[in-house]
Amino acid sequence: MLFNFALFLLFVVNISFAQLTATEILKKVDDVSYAPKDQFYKSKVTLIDKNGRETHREALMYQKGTNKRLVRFTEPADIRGIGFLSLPEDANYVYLPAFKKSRRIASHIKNQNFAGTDFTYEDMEALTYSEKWEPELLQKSESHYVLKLTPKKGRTSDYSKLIMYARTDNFYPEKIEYYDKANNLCKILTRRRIEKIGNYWVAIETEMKDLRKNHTTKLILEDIKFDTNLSDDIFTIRNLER
Amino acid sequence: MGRFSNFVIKHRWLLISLTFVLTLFFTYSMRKIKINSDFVSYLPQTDEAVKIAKYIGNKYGGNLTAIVAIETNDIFDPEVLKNIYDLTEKLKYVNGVSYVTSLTNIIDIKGTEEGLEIGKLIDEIPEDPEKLAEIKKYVLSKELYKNIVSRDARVALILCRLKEGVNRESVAREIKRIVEAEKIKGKVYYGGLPFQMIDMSKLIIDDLKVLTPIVVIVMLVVLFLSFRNLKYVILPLLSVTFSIIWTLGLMAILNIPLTIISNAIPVILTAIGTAYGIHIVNKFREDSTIINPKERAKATISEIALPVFLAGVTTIAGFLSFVSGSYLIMIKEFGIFAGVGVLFSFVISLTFIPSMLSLLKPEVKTNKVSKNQADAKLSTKITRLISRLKYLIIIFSILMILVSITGIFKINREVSILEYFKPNTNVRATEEMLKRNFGGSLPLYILIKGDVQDPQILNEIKRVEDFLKTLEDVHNPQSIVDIIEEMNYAMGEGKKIPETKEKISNLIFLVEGEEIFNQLVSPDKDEAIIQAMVTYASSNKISSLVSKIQSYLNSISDKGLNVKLEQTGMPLIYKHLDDAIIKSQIQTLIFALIFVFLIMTFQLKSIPGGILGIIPISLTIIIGYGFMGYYGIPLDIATVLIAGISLGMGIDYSIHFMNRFKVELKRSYSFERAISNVLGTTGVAIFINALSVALGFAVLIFASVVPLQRLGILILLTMLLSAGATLILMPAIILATKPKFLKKIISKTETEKLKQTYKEG
Repeated sequence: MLFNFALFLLFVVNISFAQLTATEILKKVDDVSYAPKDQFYKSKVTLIDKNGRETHREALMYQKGTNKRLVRFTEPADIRGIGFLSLPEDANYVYLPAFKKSRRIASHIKNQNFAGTDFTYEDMEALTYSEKWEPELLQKSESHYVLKLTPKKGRTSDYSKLIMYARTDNFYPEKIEYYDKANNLCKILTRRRIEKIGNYWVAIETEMKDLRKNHTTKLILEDIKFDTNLSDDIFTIRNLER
Repeated sequence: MGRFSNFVIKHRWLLISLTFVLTLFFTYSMRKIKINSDFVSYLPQTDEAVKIAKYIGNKYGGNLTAIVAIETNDIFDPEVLKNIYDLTEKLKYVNGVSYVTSLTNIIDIKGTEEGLEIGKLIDEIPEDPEKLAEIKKYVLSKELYKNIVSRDARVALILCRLKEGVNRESVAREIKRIVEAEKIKGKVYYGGLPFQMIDMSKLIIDDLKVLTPIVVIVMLVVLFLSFRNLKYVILPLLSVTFSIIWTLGLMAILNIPLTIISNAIPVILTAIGTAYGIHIVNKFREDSTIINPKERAKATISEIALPVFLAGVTTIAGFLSFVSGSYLIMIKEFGIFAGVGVLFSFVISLTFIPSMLSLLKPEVKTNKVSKNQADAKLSTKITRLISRLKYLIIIFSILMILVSITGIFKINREVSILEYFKPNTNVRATEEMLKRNFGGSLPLYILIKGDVQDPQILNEIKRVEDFLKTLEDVHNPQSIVDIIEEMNYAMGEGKKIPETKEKISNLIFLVEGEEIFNQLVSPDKDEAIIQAMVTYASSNKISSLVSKIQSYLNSISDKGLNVKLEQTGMPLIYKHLDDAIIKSQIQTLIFALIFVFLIMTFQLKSIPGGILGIIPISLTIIIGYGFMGYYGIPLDIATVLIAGISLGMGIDYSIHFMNRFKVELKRSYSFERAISNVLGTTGVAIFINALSVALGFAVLIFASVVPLQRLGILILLTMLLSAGATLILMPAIILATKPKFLKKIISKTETEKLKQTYKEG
């Protein structure tokens, strides 16, 4: 009886989700992806090159809302202290401790990779998915919605399209395939160990693979803290240069 | 040799069927023969320069570049830039290409009022003419872009770095296919070694297709004119064809591809192999007094087998002499398989031809005798003439040698693969265009082992780079220092190398993962390379350039810094090839001379005989070299074969001459009469032989590959010379000196005869 009821529930739920439009699904993806007011974590970065050679780095990440972010590298020693600050309106700054100087990074360089990772500045930009992409629902399976995202009118992108696999249960985008302007699949983002910490879903492991370079970036998050009321003072050039 | 001839005639059916079966088998295997135009793949893997080049290839994404060049009135035209952009994006995905560098994806480092900009040079293609003009001005002002845009902005390059260990020719073909599918506004050129391989491959096939039929026709004509009898034409040609099929079939089975050198094997085997047939057929024809063809074939073989065998062995030795001394593996392979081909050729000639001859219907004697008598008259006259002029002939020969020796010092060398193409080919035109606009297309690398984040090391790199810039033939050297200086400037600290390691590692952090960084610095940052392009002017210039660079690098290593510098790239490889050409030439010469001397000594059982036997060929070689010097024919990968081939084949004439001379001397007791008899019989065969070989090799003059053309001319010359020297100079010397070892033959036969008459009496 209980089993039947569960089946029934699943059926109803399925139907109700099936009726969601692509736009609604993407909205829900945004809700789960950009939910916390602020967040902090320690990120262990592993870069794997085509020969399988690994480079390890560690950084602290502070983020407030969707458009303020500070990344500060702590390991290894030769890059310790290097910081990146992203503020609204594509204002990006880098701080080089050896020079004791920060420099603004030109805003239009979206396709440039961030600090040797496989993430470009565009991949890390503050816009939500809905703000940037026009979704189309390609397919729905038991576990995933498959959305095709193309740049919205007026938005430029280095990608011709993304194929996003969002989970049906919590709308967490588990996998994203990136296609370049020549419409070749060029990168794949995969999120693993998606866990609920506090009120929010978060992927403890993220992997970005550049298919052409055969280069992979893996992130593992530690010490994740949400909604700790991070001060705006953290996201200033003065703090960056500290 | 009697036993051998009995064996052949006894088993003639077996031998004939075996020959046909093997020929069928090798014809079947031959289908799979491949072509390899990639001369880089034939570099010796043990060579230091090759090793380092390979190391760089593996670590930095390749060491050879396929260059796609677009030429228009102005590259900074939205349509052209779009072409470049599209191609750059597409070529990235070609299997075997590691990096594509062009105007649309090359790194740009800018220090602006806003701050630091590290991005792509042309990210979005502007339509606005003003913006285009601005970009143009910026691009032309920067050193970093000199290697992808010409100074007049009319030519832009798309550089495709090829991964190490890929099939370079097929990658180049794929790149070309993609570019050709695109509608390009402007003229497209394909430059650099990988694209040259496509053309080379075509030349190899063309030469094979064109030259092989020509040489067969030439041989047909030569044989027909000599024997005026169809069966005597067909048999030698058939055995030659079989030997070619066997050789190519064997190469296919052993997975040995054809190269720019070995594609001449069919021509060479035809030219050489026909000669064996000629001697056999000539002797058979001469023995027309024996009516039974079986007996006649037996008699022919028992007399001719040894000289043909010796001639074959010396020719094989000539080819094998390339195996030890050559730098390029393709020359070793050529030596081995040309040698194997010659082996096949004389084995088939000595078994198949007599077996077939023995099956002929008995021939009724025709006017042959009268013709022979006519020959005899002529040869007597010639002998008398030689006898009268003997001292003059000898003095003239000595003068020729002296003149030629001065020519030898004028011989140049030529190692550039580019020079293998004829002057008005596309490849040469492209190269000229690249030379004009970018200085050249030969990649040069300096590998610097040391901590790349150490300012001292970077300063050393900079010094080497600055030194390279002072050299006339080196263009656009590039290293990580250029990038670091650019960034230091953007950080507001001037266009120089930062003074601390921390600063350098901060800056490197910003460009790590950029393609240009991976092309210039190792992943562990413990070594870096300087890359530059070099103009090829001549082998001499390349050699002296390479030495200059090397001595500069040595002077740095002497300073005791913790840094190791090594040079590699095509210039150094060319130098090694150049050095090896001379070395291999001398080695071949000594080896082959000693070998033929031993063979002659063995044949004549006399050391003075050995010396006498090699006089004609030594004269030939010296005059051949002198000719090269005076006529500006350089030593290259094909003409380096001249000594081995000429010696191996030219000595045959001495062998045949002496073989017959001994026989005739026994019969006639007189030097004059013996010489006259030799000239009238074997002399004719030698003449036909030399003519057929010379004309066969002359076919190479029609080759598309320049070195093969030169080889054709030279062999033509040396064959005629060595036959001439054998038939004129050698009799003159014999008549002038009347050597003891030959007199012994007469006295021996005389005593034997006396003994015999005594016994009988």
